[in-house]
Amino acid sequence: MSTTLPRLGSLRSASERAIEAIGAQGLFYARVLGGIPRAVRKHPGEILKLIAELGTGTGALALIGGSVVIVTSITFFAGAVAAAQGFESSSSIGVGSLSPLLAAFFTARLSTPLLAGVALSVTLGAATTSQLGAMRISEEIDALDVMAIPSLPYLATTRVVAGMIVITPLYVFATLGGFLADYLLLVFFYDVGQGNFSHYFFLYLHPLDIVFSYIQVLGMVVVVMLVHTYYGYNAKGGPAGVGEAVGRSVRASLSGVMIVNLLIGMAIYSNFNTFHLAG
Amino acid sequence: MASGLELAAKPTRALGDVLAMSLDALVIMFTRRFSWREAIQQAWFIARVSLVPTLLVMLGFTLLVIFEVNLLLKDLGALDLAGGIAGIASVQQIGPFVTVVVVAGAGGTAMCADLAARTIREEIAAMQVLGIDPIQRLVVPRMVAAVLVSLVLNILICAGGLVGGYFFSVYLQGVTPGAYVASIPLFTGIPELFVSMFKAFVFGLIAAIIACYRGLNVAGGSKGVGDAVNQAVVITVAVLVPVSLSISLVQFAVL
Repeated sequence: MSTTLPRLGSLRSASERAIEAIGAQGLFYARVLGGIPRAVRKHPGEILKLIAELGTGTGALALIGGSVVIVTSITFFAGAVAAAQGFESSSSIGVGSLSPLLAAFFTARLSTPLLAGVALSVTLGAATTSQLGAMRISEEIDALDVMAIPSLPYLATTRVVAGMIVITPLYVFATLGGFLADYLLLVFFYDVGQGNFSHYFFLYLHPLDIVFSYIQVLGMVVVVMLVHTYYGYNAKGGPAGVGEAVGRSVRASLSGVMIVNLLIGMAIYSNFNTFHLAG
Repeated sequence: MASGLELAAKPTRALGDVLAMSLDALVIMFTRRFSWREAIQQAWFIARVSLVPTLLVMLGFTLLVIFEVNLLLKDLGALDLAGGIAGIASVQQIGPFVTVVVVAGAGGTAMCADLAARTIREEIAAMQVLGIDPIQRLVVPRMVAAVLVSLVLNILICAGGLVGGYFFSVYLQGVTPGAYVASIPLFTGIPELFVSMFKAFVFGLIAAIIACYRGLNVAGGSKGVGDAVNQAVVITVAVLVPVSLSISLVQFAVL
């Protein structure tokens, strides 16, 4: 609790505090995004280091291959679920051989970007909050400020930029994982036939769909990194506070990511619907 | 060589610990006194932290799927099947999955942070000194609470997805209201609903076990607590997607 204004907090209503929180977050995001030129110019080494760190993960998560492996395995199994459900539902109305079409549609447009959003929020995002929160609690951030290094561009902005860069290779693996699952499940498990699979799958896999889903994921990663750096940078309350900040940031970013995904998806696909059955 | 063996043994040992803790909890649940008060408090706590994220994630997830599927159906000329697809989407796949993402991401992280804070403040050690078993007093009620809340949230998400899909399809994409409602039972019936509830049950249980395990076995200072919470949610999501696939495959083979 703040020591400068004791008792004043309890007098304000909950709605005032909510408005204040929105203002604080908005100001933080504006400052982080405004610091991008400075961060790119002054701390390119830091950004490179963070790209390596975000891609491979830290601690025990690095043991099993880091964020790349986790995100890819999540989208792999999500692609498998989409393929299985697509095959079962379409064969129940007698068009099972069309299931590669459904797999291409659902995996490229829905399961991979949606699940990648969830996976990014829990891997890249939560790790960032935990790292920044620990720095705040052990007063490393205050030490930076004392040494006249503006801590916000140095710590928060570099992480947002690194997240935006690291997402490109990461999402390539995630998309390939989803498609590989479609192929393995439909060809080897459900026996739809390899020729049938490659004909329908590539006939209806529009290249633009993958570009659009990349745009969705890029939007999501910006939201994830902004939300998670905010909660980590402003952690308080000792070691327990770091855990609480991670929990709160995951809640906020999951909600934010899904809403952003819905809005971007609707904006893109209602204007450029690339799917045409008749070619 | 020795270090390589150690490296391989570490995750195996953790898995063994998790299984041992679950077995302990299972035995204690039926043999010793169950602390109702803690279970109800935890259920209320999990429900409170996860209600708003549930609604937002459900809206984002289900509505995007229904929107895109309707685009596909429109091209096929089968827009009257919109309700059936909404049923498949929200009851069979998305309902349980969103439940677990929220129970793990909201409830699990809060639960893990709480237990981790108690562990590093040595409250858990103090409990053990006083002869109170933390598994009986803390883990078992949390497991029961997480399962209860995930069942309730699953129903909420299934119903919310169908209702949201109705407004979305009928008012924005021109589906006939009667056709929407009439096509829901085409793909989704009582057995599918039970499978969905079963999935939510399993997911809630796994999320609670992993959160409690990581919370009780935290080491290090503030970095350790943050990492524990982070790992709990990553492991839960990474474990649950394959589990969901397995349950779905069994369901398709049996039903």
